[in-house]
Amino acid sequence: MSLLPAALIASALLAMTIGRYPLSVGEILGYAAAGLGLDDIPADRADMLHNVIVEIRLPRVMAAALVGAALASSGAAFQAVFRNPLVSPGILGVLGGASFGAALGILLSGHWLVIQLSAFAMALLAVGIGVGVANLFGPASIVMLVLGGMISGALFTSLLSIVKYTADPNDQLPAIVYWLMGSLGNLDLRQVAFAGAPIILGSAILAALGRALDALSMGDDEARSLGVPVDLLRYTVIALATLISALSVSLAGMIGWVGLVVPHAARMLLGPLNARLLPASALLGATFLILADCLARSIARAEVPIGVVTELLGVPAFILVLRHARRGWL
Amino acid sequence: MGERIEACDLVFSRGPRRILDRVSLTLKRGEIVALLGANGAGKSTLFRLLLGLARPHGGAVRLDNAPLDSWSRREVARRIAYVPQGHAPPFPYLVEDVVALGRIPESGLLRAPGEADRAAVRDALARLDLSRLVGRPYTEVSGGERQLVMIARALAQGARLFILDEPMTGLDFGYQTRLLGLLRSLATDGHGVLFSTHHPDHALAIADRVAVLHDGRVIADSPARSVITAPIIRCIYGVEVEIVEDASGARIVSTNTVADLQQ
Repeated sequence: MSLLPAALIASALLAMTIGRYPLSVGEILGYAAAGLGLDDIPADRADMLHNVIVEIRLPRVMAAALVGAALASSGAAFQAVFRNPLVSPGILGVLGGASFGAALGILLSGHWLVIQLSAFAMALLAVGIGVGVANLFGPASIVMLVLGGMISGALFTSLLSIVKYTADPNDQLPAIVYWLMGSLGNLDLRQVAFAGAPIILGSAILAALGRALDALSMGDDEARSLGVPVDLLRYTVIALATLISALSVSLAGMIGWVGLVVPHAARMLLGPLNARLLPASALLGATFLILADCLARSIARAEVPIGVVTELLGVPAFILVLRHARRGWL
Repeated sequence: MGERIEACDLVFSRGPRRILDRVSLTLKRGEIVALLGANGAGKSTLFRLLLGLARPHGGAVRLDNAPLDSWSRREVARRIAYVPQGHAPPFPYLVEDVVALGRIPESGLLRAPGEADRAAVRDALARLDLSRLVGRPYTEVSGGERQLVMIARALAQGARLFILDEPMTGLDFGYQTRLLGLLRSLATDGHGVLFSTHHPDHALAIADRVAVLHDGRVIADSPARSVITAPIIRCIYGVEVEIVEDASGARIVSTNTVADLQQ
């Protein structure tokens, strides 16, 4: 567990060095020291470093860390709530809703703020519809929630198709397609800071609910007999996990596999206790996405969409997970 | 904690079907009550009502002389422990972590287990002779061990009233015998034990009282020897038996031969 923060810091430093203008770790630390008044560097050099480090790379690395943490901890939380290690954050329709919202934002305005707000709002709406459908015929069981999420996801996927069909094929349609592949490139520090606070707070609350989630994952009746307020807990966790995954998707678009594979890896490293698993997943998810973004920026001459990279990395990672999977499921 | 739980005239229906029809049952500390009944007789439903997991459509459940509704879920959990059939959860929690879940009613949901909780877990595991399972995933121990781990969790919970849902199901002869002895010793040190079973023999062996659920009604609720008789067994299960006494106590012997049943 203590190695995970170290790995996160190391990967963040590494990511800061990579780019069109390569920097060494020493230069970055020197700049940071100068910023704290511990060191002196020439003004023009300081400006250049400020530009590369603070304006360009820092927002990107922070965004990667936040999005990775949000996807992985919401994935782990959903897995506990649904008692199924094969669940990913999209289970209740959050990704379908966000995709439609972003596409709608691109169609209507194209301004990043509109796109992000629309993606976020539609992601919440999609989960609301999924949970609502599940509860139509009395308090929802797990299976009903899964079905509600499928229905809501299908609804928003078809709405997305309508938007794509009506979008201008010269500029709007490519923009939608690129958004769906995920990107960390167009974020500034303000956006990242704005989304960062709720993501960190939400992940921390989820981790604090870890022990209750352990009980919940044993079954509703058992959890109630242990004094756990099952419905309150389940919907609190769904709300928090939806909030942070919706924020991450609206920032960075579709980035698949992180929310499914990273919690698995964390479970293999540290065991299944949620009080440990949730923070570990967040740290590991942040590290994973920073490294995936390094690859996305450096494997080809042009940048590769980060969603494509995580999917390509996710497949072998998931096969490894299957190999080491414990019995008791599958 | 937990002195006494009483069900008075419980009614429970599912759609048009009446699952329980004016069912009354009491469990006090220090006694063992066995609940017999064919499949579908309503045993599990009765347990869910006693635990407050479902609400009756008529009648009431009282815990320590107050309506069950008036207790918070946590206060109920400090008085009644539910022992479900040992099942495998989807995640490989370690045995001691599963037992530690029993401490949630004491320590609260948001607190990590402390030294007192760990001591309670150790004691519970030691009492059931399960200390050797520490460090092993609950999903990988045998079915009998899993059932005992569930009982260890109930012990760690500190409740005085135990409700066990068919605890012998799926256990081999050795585990069944050990479990019977364990339930007896729990009652001896002041726990109230209510368990459902498909084996009248188990009821005869340890129960102070036997209640029989048949078609949603309690048709008998008396000391074991007066309930487990040939006519009542015939009524519940539709088979002919004879109750035989020997040096070790009473036993049930089927008088049907396989050939009779084939006709």
